[in-house]
Amino acid sequence: MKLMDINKTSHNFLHTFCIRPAFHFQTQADGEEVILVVRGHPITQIWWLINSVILLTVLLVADYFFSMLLNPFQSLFTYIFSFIMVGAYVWLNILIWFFNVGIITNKRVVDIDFQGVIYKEITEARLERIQDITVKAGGFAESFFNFGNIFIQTAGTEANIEYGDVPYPDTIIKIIHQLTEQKQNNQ
Amino acid sequence: MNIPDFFNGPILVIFFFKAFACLFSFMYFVYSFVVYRQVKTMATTVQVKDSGIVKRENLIITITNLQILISILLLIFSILIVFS
Repeated sequence: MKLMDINKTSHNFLHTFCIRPAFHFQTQADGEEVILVVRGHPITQIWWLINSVILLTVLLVADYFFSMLLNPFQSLFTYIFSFIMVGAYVWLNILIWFFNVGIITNKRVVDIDFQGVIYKEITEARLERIQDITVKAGGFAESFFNFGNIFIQTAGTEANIEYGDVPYPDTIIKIIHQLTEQKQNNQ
Repeated sequence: MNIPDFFNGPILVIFFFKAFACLFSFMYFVYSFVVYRQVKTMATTVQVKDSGIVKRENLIITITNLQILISILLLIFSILIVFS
C-alpha cells in the first residue's frame, strides 16, 4: 500500500484516511482538488460503542424490574423506548464521526467540526500560510494503532487547525509538505 | 380513590410513568427534528459522492427520516398509554 501516492484513489480504515475520494465540501473553490480526507481513527470510536452496550444493558435490567408494576402494554413501551434511546445515541455518534472531517486540498487545509447536534465550525488555512505542524501521539493505543492529533499553526490572523485522532499522522504531514512544495514550485 | 391511596401503592408509579412517557416521547420528537435539520446542514457542508456501494448521503438522510417517523409513532404510543 503506497500511502504517499497522492495521485491514486484509496480508502483505508473504514474510510478514515481517503486519498482523492469522490468528495465535495461546501466552500470548495472551482479547480480545487480534494487530495486527502481524514476522520477519527475507528478505535477512538470504541468508547461510545461500549457506553451504548452498557446503557442498553442497564435500561433492559431496569425495564425488567419496572415492568412488574406495569401492564403488558406499558411494559412494551419501556422496552421500545430503551432501544430507541440507545439507537438515537449510537446514530448521533455515527453522524458526528462521519461528518467531522479534516480535508487537505491542493490549495488549503480545512477542518470541519460538528459538536453535538447544533454546533458547526469550519476552519481553513491556505497552504502557503502554514508555518508549523505538530503531531501529538502519546499512549499505548496511539502507538499501537498509529493515530494521533495534528496541530497546524498558521501565519498571521488565520486560525490554527487541529485534526483529532487521525490515522497515519506522519503520512498526513508528508502529504502537506509535498503539496506545499508543489505549490511553491508552481509559483 | 382517596388521596392516601394515590400516594401509596402503584397508582402513583403509573401516574408518573404516563407523565414521563408523554414528556420523553415529545422530547425525542423535538430531538429527532433537530437532528434532521442538522443532518441537512451536515450533508450540505460535506458531500460524499457515490462510493460505489450506496450513496451515503441518501442513506443518512433516509435513516434520519426514519428517526422522525419512529418519534411520531412513539408519541402516538405514549398518548395511547395515557388512555390505557
